[in-house]
Amino acid sequence: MKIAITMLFAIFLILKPISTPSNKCNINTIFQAMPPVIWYEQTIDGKDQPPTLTRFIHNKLNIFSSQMAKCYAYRLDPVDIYRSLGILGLFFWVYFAWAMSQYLNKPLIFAFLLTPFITIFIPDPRIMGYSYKIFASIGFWYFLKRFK
Amino acid sequence: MKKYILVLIILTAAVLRLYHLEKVPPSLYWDEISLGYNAYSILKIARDEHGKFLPVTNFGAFGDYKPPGYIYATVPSIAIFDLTEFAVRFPSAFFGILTVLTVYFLTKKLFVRETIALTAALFLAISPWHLQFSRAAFESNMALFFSTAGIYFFIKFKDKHWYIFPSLICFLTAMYTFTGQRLFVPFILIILGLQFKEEIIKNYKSVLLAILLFLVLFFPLFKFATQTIEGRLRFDEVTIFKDLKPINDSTEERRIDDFKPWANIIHNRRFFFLHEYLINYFDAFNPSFLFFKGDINPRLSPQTVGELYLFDLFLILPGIYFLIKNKHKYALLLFGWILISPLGPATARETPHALRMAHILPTFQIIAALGLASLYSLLRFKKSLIIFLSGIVALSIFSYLHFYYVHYPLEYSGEWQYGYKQMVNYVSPLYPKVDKVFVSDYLGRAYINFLFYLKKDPYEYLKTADVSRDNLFFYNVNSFDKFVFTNNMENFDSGNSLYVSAPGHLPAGTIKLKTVIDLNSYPVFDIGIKP
Repeated sequence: MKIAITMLFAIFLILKPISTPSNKCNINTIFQAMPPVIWYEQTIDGKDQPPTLTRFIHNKLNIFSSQMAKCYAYRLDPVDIYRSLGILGLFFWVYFAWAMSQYLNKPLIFAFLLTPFITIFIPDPRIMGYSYKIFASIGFWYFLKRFK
Repeated sequence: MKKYILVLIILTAAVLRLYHLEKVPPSLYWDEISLGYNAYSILKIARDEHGKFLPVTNFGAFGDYKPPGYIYATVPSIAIFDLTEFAVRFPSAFFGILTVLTVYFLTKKLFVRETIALTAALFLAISPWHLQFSRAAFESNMALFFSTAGIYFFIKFKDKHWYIFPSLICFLTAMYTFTGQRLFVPFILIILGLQFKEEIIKNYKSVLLAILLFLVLFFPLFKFATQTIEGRLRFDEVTIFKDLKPINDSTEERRIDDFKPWANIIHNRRFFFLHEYLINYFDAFNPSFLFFKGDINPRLSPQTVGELYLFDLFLILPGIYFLIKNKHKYALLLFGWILISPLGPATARETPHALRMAHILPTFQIIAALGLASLYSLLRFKKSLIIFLSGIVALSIFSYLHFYYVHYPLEYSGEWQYGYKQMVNYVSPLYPKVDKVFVSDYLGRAYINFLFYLKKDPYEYLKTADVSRDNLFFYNVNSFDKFVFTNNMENFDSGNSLYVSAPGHLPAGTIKLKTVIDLNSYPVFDIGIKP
């Protein structure tokens, strides 16, 4: 019975159209952003600042990781999740995250944490929308499991 | 030892908030100048810039009807430090430092453990969100102190029932200081009521008396905010509930369904408004806003760092986890505080809004401190954790301070209306020698900058000011003394006059004396003379 209800919920979620994310960053946009950001930030530091300090703060690795982290965070924007799943779906998506911390299901935790990262390398960011739906459905399943 | 650590944290908070307070942010924004001059006016003649005697519910100012709290708090500051940038910003910095201390006491009350309280205070002391608001005259920052103190006293009410009085007085002061608090205080009182329902029932007499006092003191503000056009003006200006789009969308959907009765239910405009509201609500928890970019408005965030540090994320998540897992008795209060904070700001169009949501602030730091303490007790390599985390924290602060002191003033001086002071200082020695000074109002509210930087006597200003009020209830100062504020300078052709215009817009026949530039070398004003 629980499986049937979960399947129904999953179908309901999958049929809901995926909205285009508010930020469409990916690995290409990250590489595109790097040179102008480095140039801009180093210019503001000016020639009077010690070069070591400038290079320490505004180096490629720093900017690359900060752009990657931003892109990762954009994929966990609650507004995008809400737009793709609706309020109920968002609740079960959050519930999924909570259930993972409770049950310590390692494969699912890795999947949950790695999906936003992997999708950075996929040009179409709407792929994230499908992961929201899958995790929300699993969250719903975990929620049902609470009731005997 | 722990007392010394607290002193050190408060000193750090003070240094971070007071160092170069008058220089970074690079200039006073018009709201700050307005707060400062109205406080100066109160100090000199006990009236605001419109001549109203000791206003209680609002200061007319530009027609934005500012709450009175910050202005009255600035009066002693101006009495001590004179009418300067430092004096205007000092109350915000001062209450910012006090908030750090209050968070220490509040966290100690919540979790008993001294180390969690000290960590929470330290996290707030170095918080980019709190520093941004403590270093400029933001009413919301002062209000944050009062709402946090109100929550602290409410928790103390559990021990001694009379603490309900200072608690409600603090909440009331918060509401008289920042409009955003008027949509926060009622909700946090509900959360506190739920958290302490047993104590409230036990001491119902004190509670009833305190509520009565609260209502009596709140009544003038309530009447102003609900019964007058001026009181509702700002809310009506920013709220999503006055937007036509959801209504148009609803009508369109119903039209497609031939306006059938069931279509009126499914495509009801209230659902469209609810959808907009929920989007705004969830925007408050946007990770990019919280941890990477901060508020989109450069006056509210340096843009290079989130409202919180990235390391906060790795402490907040375990903090939330342990708060739920251990079924902590104040979990309701902390989660309730976080969840209700965006309820008010979500009614406005611009979200996420760091300023309107500032009352959420200490919750993240408190939860991060709990997260750190819990991780510390769990992990085997305690020293390594502390050394690693100290390194990360030090790097984060260093990077933030570099961006704040080196990049921020250069990149965003225009956002802080840099140039007004430089322009007034240039005009000041020439002004006695000319008959008129024509000033372009293209950047808005030029008059208040002249009043402030020339330290104009408020009484003299009131005698000569020509003020009109437009149909949106905004005040426009057309002229005072020798100054005329206009965007049509060409219409005023007068000899022996100074002209201050937008770059490249001096009237024909004017000899250009100077171009005022901002810190990014963009021209802000042209100053010229017509002999």
